[in-house]
Amino acid sequence: MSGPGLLPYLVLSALLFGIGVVGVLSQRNAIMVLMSVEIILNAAILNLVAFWRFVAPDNFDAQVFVIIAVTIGAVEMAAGLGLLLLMFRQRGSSNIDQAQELKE
Amino acid sequence: MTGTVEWLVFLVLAVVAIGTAAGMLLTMSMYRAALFLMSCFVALAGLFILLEADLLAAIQIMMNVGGMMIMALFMVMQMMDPGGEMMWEMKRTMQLRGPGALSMRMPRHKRGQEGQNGPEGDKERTGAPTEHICPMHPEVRQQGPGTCPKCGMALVPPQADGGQEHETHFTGQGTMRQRQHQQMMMDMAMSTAQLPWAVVVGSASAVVLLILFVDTPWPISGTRPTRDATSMVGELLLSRYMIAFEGAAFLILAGIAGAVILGKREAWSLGAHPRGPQDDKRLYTCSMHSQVRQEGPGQCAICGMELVPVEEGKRS
Repeated sequence: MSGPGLLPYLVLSALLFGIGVVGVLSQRNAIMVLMSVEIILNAAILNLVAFWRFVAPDNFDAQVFVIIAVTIGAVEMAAGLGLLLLMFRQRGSSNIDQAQELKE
Repeated sequence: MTGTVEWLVFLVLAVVAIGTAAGMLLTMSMYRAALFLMSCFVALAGLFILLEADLLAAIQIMMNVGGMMIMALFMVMQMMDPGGEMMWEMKRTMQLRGPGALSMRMPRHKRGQEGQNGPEGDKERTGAPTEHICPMHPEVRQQGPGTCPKCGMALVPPQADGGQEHETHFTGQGTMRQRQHQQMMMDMAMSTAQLPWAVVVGSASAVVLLILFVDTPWPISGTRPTRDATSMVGELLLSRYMIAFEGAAFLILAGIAGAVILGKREAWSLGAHPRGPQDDKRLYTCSMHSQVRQEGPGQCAICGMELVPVEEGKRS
């Protein structure tokens, strides 16, 4: 019996993506939204690695791409947390429903 | 590794990844949510090892787990109830069902009341122009949400039984009306009233992705990757992808600098960061000798008194 092929990994990443979408759409706190975005990003990265392993194992460009994607995820988190800290100091909560200064 | 062991490891890691990702959305405590997400990332790193991408697993753990540590720190600093103990206690006092602090499930209301309560609650949440009042100044009323011009508090939609609501919170399920109960659970939970729709959209997108994945004939290659992936990736990063590598490093620096500057700016605008004398370009004068004028603070050349800004001097 051989190990799990490409499809199980794709199924797993699709499920993770769905959970991430639920989080982004339903969470009230901006930090939780940011964390749900991270889940989506990681689902995409899992997809990338699975495709590298099963479709083009000799081409390491995919791994470089994953490294860049992980970096961007970390930067997004740093910038997002900076913004959130600012928002939290200004109004005492990081509830995204309250971030609406530009509404009027 | 034999196929069976690989399957076993895959299934365990997949269950951990899915379970912790879902747990992140279900828990009532943000600190716990950060830990859940961290374990989700670690499970994914394990899957990377299973996929023979060891380098990526190491990077995944270092970057994401490090990031989640910072996130957990933020949770503890910001949240009123980072461990979720308060909510747990509240749930126990009210004898709600569900697994303690791990659940944010809102109690379902009875069929008969659903028609009256549901749409009304939704209307308030989505910001339809209902009348809002200030909790401190009941005379302040306006259409739609906003802040009170007197005290700056956020305006709230008027409750049918307004002030007594807080007292009845802890008195048990018996005295609390269904609607109050639902409203309070909604305020406590970390998700908004749009949760059911979010679940529908999330499941739909997952199903669409699954159909696409299953339906596409992927050109699967039978070869195994070379063991020396790390040196290959390093070589690529330093030759063909040098610019991307440098760009990523620059992005990290820019992100950190941006976070620090954003944090600082607030301190400046609050006046917590006092202006140094060299920044002060206002005109100063002596309160006794009005002919003495200079840019920036200092002492009067005639009497040695502290100079005052010109505007203030005029006012006094």
